[in-house]
Amino acid sequence: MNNTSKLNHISLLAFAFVAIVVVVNLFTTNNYGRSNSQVVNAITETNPLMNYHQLRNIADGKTNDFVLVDLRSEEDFLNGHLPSAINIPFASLLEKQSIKTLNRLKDQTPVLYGAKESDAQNARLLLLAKGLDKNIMVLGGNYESALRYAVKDFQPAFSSFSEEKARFDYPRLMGVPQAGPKEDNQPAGIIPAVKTETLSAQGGC
Amino acid sequence: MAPFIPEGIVNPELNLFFALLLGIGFGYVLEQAGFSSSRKLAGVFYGYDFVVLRVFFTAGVTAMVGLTFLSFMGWIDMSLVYVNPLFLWSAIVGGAIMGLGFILGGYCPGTSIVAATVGKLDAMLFLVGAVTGIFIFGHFYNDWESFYNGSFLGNPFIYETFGMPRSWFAFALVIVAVLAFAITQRIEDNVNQTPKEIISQRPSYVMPGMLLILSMFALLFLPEQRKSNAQEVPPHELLAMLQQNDRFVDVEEATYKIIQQDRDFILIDVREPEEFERFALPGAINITMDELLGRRYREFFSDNKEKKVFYSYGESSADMAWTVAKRAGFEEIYVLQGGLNGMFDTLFNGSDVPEDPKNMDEEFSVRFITKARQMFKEGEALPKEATQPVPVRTIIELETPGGRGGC
Repeated sequence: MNNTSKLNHISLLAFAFVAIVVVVNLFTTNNYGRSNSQVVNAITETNPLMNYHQLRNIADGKTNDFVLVDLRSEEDFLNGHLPSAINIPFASLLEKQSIKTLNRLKDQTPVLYGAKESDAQNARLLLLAKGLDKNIMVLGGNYESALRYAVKDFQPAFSSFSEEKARFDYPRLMGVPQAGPKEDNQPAGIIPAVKTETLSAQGGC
Repeated sequence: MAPFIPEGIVNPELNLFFALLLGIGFGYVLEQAGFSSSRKLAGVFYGYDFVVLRVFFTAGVTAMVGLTFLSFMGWIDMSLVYVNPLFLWSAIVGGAIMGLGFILGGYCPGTSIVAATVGKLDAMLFLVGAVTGIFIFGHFYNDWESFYNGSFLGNPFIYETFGMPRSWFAFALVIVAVLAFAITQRIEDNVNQTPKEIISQRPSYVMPGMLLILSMFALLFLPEQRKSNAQEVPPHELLAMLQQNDRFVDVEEATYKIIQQDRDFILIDVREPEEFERFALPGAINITMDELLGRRYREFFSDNKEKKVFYSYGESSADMAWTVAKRAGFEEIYVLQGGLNGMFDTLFNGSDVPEDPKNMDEEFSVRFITKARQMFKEGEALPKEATQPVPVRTIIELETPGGRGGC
């Protein structure tokens, strides 16, 4: 019987130790709402880019489903911003106030833009990592390009503008031999690869 | 934190040293458990001694419970743990041969070595047989290679096949283990006709068994898995790093390193593989976003000798890859400023190259840019194997074809 009680003591101690470690762990280091691989899945699964047709609709007040979020500093925001945009500076993106503001948008989708497209993309990534359970979109390009191609003077050719598109004919520039039949009537040198597209339902969520 | 080798905490060259320590420990435990006796080992087949089953089941369950808890607490990344891949038919045939040998000889490979070292003659003969078998296998390997490497099924997990969470499977297995211990003890006592007095003097294992089941049961109702690992960079620090620009490598530096063919400067192309195969910067390797955190590149990223530079067409995809990698705690990672678009814009539209340079720095910059232009135009920069993904030179391929031996 002495053996049994010794065994019970040891197993209870081990159990208590594991329980304490788990409980302490539960209440610490809980910074993120999504694991890193969940974030990777979330960003590779969907294309969050909003095109300038949709931006046009927002600017003209035709749709009320989106809210433009300006990620630049307050100073830049006051100097000029896209129509009906709200300001959440990138530096204060993860503060409680900002996340509360985003969560308060019930049926509306936030559309992020900044001085660079990567700021908006990274902001979306951080919000997803933080566990924001909401569809977040990113405006293609940046503040300057949106202003130039969509707000001031709408150019359909640039409607799906994004910094992440090839701007040059790289294989030619780098002398890569092209496989298959090659169009010879293309002018040599640098040609812009911005595609002129017809209107199509694109870039939704 | 762990696994130690893919994370770069333990030097791969120390592998053999740790293998020696673990091997000594393993041999000691086997000998202490009485596994150098072939009668004891074969007992499991006749029902008079189940110690083999209990020892291996205990080892498996202990490891499983430990890994489940460590992974739950975010201290171990299970996706980085090596799992032996399944070759279905060679596993079945190999298992049958091993089982037959086990009954006939009374040893399995590991225990025969233990028994041979304590001087058992039959174990030494068994080892001679094993070595002969290995020799025959190797000699006729070409004849059964297709069978040996055939019916490869990857790494299927039982819980994934049944579509249940890992914690449920672990819970079920713990219950099976506890039941198996109780039942085999019964069978053993019946077969040996153990006297009642001896049975009543044994310690009762009810409490430890119950606590084990309880702890696994509790795990079912705790949240699935910790969202952040212990070694990850917290979100606020990540945000602060993103506001600084020191992660960017400018066009001049990048072209200089490309021209110099600097081995400590590795370009990582995060575009899709098809685009990478079409063309890429010289010497670049292709790691897309979803491969970034995988086991395959972990060792590469934990090696901090080289400067690793992400690039894509623009800046944003590369920058997102940087953010994910930085959160995972990778060091010495950078982003090509402006991406390919920015780089080629500077090189070919070169508005910022002054006609007559005023100082040394400017002169250097002009020289690099002119050289780079020439290089790209003349196709010198073209990597020789541009149509194939460039092999990663720093990775030790961990996957070994074929099964590894058990105990």
